[in-house]
Amino acid sequence: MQNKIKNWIFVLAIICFNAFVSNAQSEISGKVTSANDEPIIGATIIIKGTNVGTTTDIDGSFNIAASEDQTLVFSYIGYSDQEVVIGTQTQLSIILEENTEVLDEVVVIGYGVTAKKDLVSSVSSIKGDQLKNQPVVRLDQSLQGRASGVEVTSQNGAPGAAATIRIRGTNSINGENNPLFVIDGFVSGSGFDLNNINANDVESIEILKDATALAIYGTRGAAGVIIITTKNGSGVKTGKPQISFNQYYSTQNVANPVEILGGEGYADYINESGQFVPGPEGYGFTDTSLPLAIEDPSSAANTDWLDLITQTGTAINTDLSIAGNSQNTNYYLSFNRFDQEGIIQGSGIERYQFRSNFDVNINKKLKTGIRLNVANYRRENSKTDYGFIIGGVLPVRTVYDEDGNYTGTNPITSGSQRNPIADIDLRVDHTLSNNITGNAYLSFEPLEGLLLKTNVGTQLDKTKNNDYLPGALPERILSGSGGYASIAYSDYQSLLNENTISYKIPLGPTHKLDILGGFSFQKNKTESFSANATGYPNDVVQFNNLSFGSDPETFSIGSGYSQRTFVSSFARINYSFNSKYLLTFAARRDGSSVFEDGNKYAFFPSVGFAWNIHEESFLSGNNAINRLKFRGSIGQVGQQGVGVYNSIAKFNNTNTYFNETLVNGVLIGSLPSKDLSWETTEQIDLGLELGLFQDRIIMELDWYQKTTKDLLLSKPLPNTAGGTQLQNIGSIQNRGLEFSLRSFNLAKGDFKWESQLTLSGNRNVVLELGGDEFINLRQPTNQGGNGVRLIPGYGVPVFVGATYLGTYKTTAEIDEDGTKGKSFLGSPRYVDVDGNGVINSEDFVVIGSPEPTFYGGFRNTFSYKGLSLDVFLQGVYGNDIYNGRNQTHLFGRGDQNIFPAVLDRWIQGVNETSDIGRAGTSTSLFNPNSTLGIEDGSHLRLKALTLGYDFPMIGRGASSVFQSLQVYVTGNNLFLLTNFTLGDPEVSNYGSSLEQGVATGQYPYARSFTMGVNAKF
Amino acid sequence: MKNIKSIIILFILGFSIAGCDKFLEEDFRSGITTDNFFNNDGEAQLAVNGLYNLLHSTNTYTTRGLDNFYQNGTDENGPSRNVNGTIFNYYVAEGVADGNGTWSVLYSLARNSSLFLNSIDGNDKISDGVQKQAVGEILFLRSLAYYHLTNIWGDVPYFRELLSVEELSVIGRTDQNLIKSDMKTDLERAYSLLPVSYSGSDLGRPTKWAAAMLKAKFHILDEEWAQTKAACDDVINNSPHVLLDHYADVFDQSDPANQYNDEHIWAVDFTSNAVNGNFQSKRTDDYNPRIRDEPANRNARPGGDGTPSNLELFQALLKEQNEDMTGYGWSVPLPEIARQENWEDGDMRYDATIVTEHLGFQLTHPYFRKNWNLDQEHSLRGNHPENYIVFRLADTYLMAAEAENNLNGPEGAYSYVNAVRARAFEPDKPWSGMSKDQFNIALRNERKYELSAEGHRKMDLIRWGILVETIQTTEQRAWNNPASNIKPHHIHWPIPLAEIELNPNLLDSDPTNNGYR
Repeated sequence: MQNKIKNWIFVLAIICFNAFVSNAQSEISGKVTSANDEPIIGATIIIKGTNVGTTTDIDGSFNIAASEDQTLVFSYIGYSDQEVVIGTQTQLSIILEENTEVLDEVVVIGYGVTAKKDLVSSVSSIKGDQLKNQPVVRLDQSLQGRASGVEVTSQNGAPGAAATIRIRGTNSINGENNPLFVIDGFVSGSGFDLNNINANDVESIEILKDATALAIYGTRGAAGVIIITTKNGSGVKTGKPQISFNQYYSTQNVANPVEILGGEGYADYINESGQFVPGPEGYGFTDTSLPLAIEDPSSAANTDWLDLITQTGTAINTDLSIAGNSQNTNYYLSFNRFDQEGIIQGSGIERYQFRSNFDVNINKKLKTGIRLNVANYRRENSKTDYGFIIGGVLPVRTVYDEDGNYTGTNPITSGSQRNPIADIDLRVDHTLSNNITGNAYLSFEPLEGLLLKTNVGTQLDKTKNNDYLPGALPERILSGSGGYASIAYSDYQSLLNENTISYKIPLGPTHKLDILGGFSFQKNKTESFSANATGYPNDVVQFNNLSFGSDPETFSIGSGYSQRTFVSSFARINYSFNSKYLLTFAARRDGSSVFEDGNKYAFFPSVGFAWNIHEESFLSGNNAINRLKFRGSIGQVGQQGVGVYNSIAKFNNTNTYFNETLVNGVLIGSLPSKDLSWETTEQIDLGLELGLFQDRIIMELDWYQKTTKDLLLSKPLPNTAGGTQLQNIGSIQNRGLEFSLRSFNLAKGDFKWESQLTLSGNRNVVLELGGDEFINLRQPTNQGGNGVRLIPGYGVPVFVGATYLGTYKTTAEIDEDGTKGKSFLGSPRYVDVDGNGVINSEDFVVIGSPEPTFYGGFRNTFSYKGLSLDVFLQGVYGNDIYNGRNQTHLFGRGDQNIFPAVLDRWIQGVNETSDIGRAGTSTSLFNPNSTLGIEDGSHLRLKALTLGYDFPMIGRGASSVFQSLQVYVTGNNLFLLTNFTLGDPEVSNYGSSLEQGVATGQYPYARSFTMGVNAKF
Repeated sequence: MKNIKSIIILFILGFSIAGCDKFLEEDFRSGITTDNFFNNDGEAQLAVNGLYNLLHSTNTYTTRGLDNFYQNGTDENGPSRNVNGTIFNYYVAEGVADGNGTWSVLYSLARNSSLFLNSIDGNDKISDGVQKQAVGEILFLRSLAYYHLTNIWGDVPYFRELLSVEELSVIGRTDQNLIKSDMKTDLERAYSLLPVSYSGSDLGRPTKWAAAMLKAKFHILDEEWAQTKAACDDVINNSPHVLLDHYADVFDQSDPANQYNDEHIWAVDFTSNAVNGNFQSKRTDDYNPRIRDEPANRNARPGGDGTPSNLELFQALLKEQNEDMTGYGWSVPLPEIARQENWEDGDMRYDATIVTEHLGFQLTHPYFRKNWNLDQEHSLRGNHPENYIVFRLADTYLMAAEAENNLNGPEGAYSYVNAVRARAFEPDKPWSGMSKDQFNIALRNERKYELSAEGHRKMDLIRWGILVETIQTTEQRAWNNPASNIKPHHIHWPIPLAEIELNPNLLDSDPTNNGYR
């Protein structure tokens, strides 16, 4: 080995010597152009083996002093390098060839980077330019359809709302299914608020999917890891800083509104319903002697609440960044302001964000750097709720009463009900967030290839929620309770220290051995404080001074502290033979505070293998196949989806009143778990990468199987025992195929066409549940609730419910079912599996699965000279959605809205064939969740269409100011193909829980039009 | 190169030992662990207070929780329109309004009270006085939990000390007679520990008389007449409770600062503008009229076209006395009890009980005046301070009368009934000259008119064995048809289906689940 080092030193010495001894310099000049004779501005010319160089001017011309024996290297991004030996020439005319090949990509992996060709793992890589300028504040929403095996579902369309991300399916029930975010080396956890990151700062996003990629993150990575790498200045030309300015303006409207029946139709229905009685025969009867709820339906109020609360939203985004590079320093500084007003009035988000990335070479061996992100946002939370209006704010309710005051009741039930317009006008509800994420490193390279690196990072997240319900809100006037203010403050702090050592052991040209080892310590703690007060006599001070709440008895305060710590050590060994055979071992030993003593540590190993078949001699002469790689990996990752203090039996604070006096008390808290251990996922991955015709077509195919054992599951226990208990129980499996294709279809002259396709399909199944026949994740309930269940042999999870048969058409059917007195002509009929005359959960069958058959994205980019067109389609096929409104809104419960389809309902003597129930029959009836709620969630969406124009900089004097200038227009969500009836089929109810595919009418998605300009100086 | 080797060795060493156990210890700061509690008087009192929280639940006394078992579905009340039909129409079945929520809260009360009792009883860190009071209250509250459980479901899972989660997950049903017998013993002890009265901010805790009443309730269900009478006599003769002179005053809770009166033996305390909505009674809203229902002929204009409508006139009058009708009308008198001709001539309780017109306006529906409250200053929608009166002395008198009649015939029983009737009639219409059976039959109506809509009727009908026939012969409004649905098994509820699915052992002792399968 020492010989090797000596050799290198020798080589270095020769290079230096050459640089110094070169003599007889002469002036060389010339011009660099492209194949179509356009001058190339800013091309780099370097004398090979030196750091002497220059760049071309606006005419593509250059001058450089060099000697005869030297070689000039011409390079420019997007073009192949060209080398020219000077010889006797003094005038050079250089034509650079465009490079259609993908540069051998560098891929970021856990604790390192690697060339794509050396990668053993399954990693999807998305370059930042694919994500930029989408008019959404969070970048997760732009990930949809971009990478195979990554299913991204927005939870709703509210500004700043999170998306649910599933990498290769649902691994865990109770554990974290959202991936781990690692931002510039800082392990930010799964719950990191992506509102704090500016998509335009992102250089690349890597999504780690298979066991060898994930094992290095051990338990943190069971649900996949998303590595976000932000820009730095290293790519910028030495000398002149690059200033970039980007601004866009977007207008947004509700894309797929939900339709509900208007006032007159509703009034007719409610009148019919009010006159429905069991009747003398007991089969249902219309008693016209009963009073009508709304005497004149045609003059009933007809308020279109959904229309009243929506507006044309706007988003304005401004980015300003400076990147620079000098010999020993590179930097990237950016500022961003994003200001969005949502499509529902009163909602929005305004963000200010700064980033400062520095890398400094202290000397040849020591390097340091920092990544610092500071973000501040104010989110105006929705003051009213779209779903709430769809649910039961009736069209026959007016916004104002005769006296011009807000109405405060549901006119049919007389129940107190919030007034959406009053909420928008009067409520205060916003979240203020400050986030600082900083990560500094120091690396020491005592020998080439040996790198010791230490990282110290912190993430500080302070959020405060201010809420004020003025006493002037109609429902508060009714209850006479005055104003209500609440504040909630949370201070999260994460500290991370990671130390790694890596060594690229020089073993000669055939063997390559890289090793990596490291430790990691992390401590996350949250301190919280909340307080509220009621009885504000006026609405002046609001949440700013809680002591103005008039009734000290009703003050309520709370505070909390929680802490979680991790200690981990990890290692990875990469071995490659002749770049043909690649082998990777990766392992991590994780310790976590949330487990009881004895179970605190766990070890997660993995091994992967790859074969670069194209390096084999039998493929060397093959013109079609320039790249063929087979990969395989197997390994384990863990999951610690356990809340803090889970194993501690606790008393909860509670209170009560005696003679109007508040006193404190305690009650037994939730059930502590016992002997919990880590949930383990075993993953096998087989992958194939194929590059054809000099990488004009690149394909990647992966098959995987993931088996999760010792599932951490919040198991429902009988109420005699007290709620649920977290247990290790059962196992589930995910299997899937992922396919991605990238092809350069055309590159003729100025016209270029590139396509990118991702397709993925995942099949998950419950293998066993520790002997239980099923476990309800959500208790099937009546009246619109959903039943979500785990059943061995079925998907994770499935919808269960009764089978809806339509309406009772004859009295014989009622007699046959033995439900006389409960069922009536025209009332809903279900399959009574056990034939006991009662429809309850014993009659439930599997009625649907939220898992799609496949999902994917298809992107096409076309460019002609400065014009570019980017068309991005995204789709999902074969998933079921439980439309939680069908049951109430088709059966009519009186206090709820109804769908227009109800116009076609069963009406005696008029329409006795309809399967939409008779008005009034369901008012008091138990209606189980059923197949009626299941709808096809398949959809195809034109997610984004961008047209851009790069102004030519040549010969117009502009180039003295701009390096580049681009204008663009983007349309998002321009069309949607779907059969789903409740607005948009992209639903992920209840956030990150398993209840994907349950729709209740969430904050709608926007169709937006964006115009922007992007200039580089 | 040596250096490098040693660095690597160090790292490998570190790799295998990484992790300091101290760093990974859970740092629990913001809560109380169960293993370090019950060390002083204050902690014992916190535990006792916590139990009362469970009485303030929508599944118990806050709204129609317990009323759905004890009051709704009787011959006294029904809804003003087609609502709550599963209860009023007797659609109850496994998995259909099977009371799972109430079951859950009552078992929470049973678990918490069992743990607290065992932790406090005999704990020498807690002073004698506090211990006595705490044990008395806990015994009373646990007995109340099992009282409801056995009334609603009959045989139920039973435990007296907090069992392990594993045991509680597979527990079977216990014979209700055993449970009741234990509760009578427990209540005897509670009686001996609890004080005779409270004042100030302790009003709302049970006295020994409350314990005696609950014990009497257990006895009368089992027709243990002597013990019933003994307990009732004790309350009548020795407690500070007296019958108020005027029937209507018993229910007058219009002054939130003065809701307790001498006739109330025990009430669950509710408060307006409380820290938590469950402490604000919503039960009153069921008894209050809906805005849009009243008055009758609301759109008619008695002064002719262009003059104010009945509604406008009525609303103006209501406003004058700071009243409004902002309730739900889910519980209004059924037609029979609403008709004065069905009451005994001269029964002054009628006007205090039933209201059919208000401020000179005929109402569309009759209402229970004793349970309504239209006041818009202290008792607003969803924010009512009215206590739930669980036990009151008139009930004690009538129970004593029934017990005495069944023990010794009517002679000794008249005085109890007549004490209650004295304020109902002017001049008095005391009972006399009845046979034992006549007395028993008459007493059924007496209890109905004295105690209507107070949550006693269902258990009365059940213990007299006349629930089904009564429901089948009671006149209902058009939208209700309980007569065609009620079955003999409706004297109990089915064990909740969700509970059976999680613990099939609940079917062991009775595979029919109280006759529901």
